[in-house]
Amino acid sequence: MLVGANALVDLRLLGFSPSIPLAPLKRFFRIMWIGFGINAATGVVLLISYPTKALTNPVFYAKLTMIASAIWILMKLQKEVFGDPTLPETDMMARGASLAKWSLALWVGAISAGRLLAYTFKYILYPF
Amino acid sequence: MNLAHLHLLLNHFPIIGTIVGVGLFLFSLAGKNDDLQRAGLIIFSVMALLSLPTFFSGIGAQGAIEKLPGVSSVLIDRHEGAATLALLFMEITGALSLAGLWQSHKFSRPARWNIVTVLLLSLITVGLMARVGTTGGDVRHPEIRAGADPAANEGTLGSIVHAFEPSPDKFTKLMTANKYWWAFMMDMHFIGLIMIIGAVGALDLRMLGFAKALPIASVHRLVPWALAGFAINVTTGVLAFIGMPVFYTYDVAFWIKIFAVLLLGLNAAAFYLTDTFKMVEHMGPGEDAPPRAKIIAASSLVLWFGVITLGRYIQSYQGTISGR
Repeated sequence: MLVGANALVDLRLLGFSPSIPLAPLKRFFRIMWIGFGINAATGVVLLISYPTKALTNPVFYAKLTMIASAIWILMKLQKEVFGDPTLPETDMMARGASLAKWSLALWVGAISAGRLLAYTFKYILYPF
Repeated sequence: MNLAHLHLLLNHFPIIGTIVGVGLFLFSLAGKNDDLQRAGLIIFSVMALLSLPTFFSGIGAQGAIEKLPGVSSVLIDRHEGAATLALLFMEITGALSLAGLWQSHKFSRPARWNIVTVLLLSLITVGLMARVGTTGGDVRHPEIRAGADPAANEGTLGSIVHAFEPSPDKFTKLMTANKYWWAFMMDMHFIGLIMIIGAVGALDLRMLGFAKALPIASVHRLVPWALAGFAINVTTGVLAFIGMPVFYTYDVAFWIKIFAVLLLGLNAAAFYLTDTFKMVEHMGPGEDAPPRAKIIAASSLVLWFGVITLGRYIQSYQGTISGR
């Protein structure tokens, strides 16, 4: 819900599928925020369940940094590119292009880090 | 029904289906019939999809018979190697057929290179599938075997093809030898999934009435992203299965997930092969899709979220199917 919809908006801003009108994609931000809410809530539950597994793995901090940056870019996209309904599409794309590139790169990075977390942990529980 | 039974039920489809597909394709070229050609491409796509559960059920069939008297593990391995090579060609044929169907939607007919490549690959696939059938028959039917040890009594052509067939055990070890390779495959499986759900989800939501300012035709142009994502996921999924065949085979979540993927194929057929797609294809901003398009869109969303959820449950449900 979060990355799929965000990637769609990013790719459109980068000039793919130009026949899709940009402004109505604003509706997808709600889906992204619901997705982020679910992921944040379940992520916190997982962290509480296995604190040692995550906190002893540097990949976990890389993942959180990338998520935080991607969410910051998401907020910038929503405010600066989709916030002004009078903005013509060419201006939206000009403002959004570099944000979109960073957004895609950060999400791919965050997902890869997340997958790596399942295989690189040192301890699942605190080693007594 | 057990997995051996499932294997026997499914294993005729890829063999006979590709022969029917090649027949339709050849007739379509001889008679310059575009509808027949599309039918051939559709059959290849369906066979590529059906070949997946056929391949996956083979390990369960092996588990059911390998300890019975008179069953040779050499013959089973030969059959599995043949099946792996045939699956590779079947999936490439299916992927190019889907690309051809997309081209015929966009430019009214497939590109010339597409027709030539699909024809060539489907002919090779028919040959390889015939070999899968023969080597599979050898496993359980001594009455048709060529000599006491068919693996040793292969003809020249059989030996040449056999040189290209992977050895199942070595392939399995190769996939799990490096944990970073495995993590990379799983990573690509996630990224493929996002490509699918981003494109299909947007189209489904639009048909259900969300973000109605978007014209459906323009959202539909995202479909190649979903097809590319699906190709990535079939590839990484099959490689993961080859890496841990026993883990996936005896897992109920895995099989329900595969069943859901097949249902999604059926759902796509209900969309594209009825007039539903023609009804929504040219809908502009603000237009409301008919109820049957909404039913298909809702089914697609539910099934894709089911596929994702079941994928996450595979780990916890390992060993839930008995038979080994």
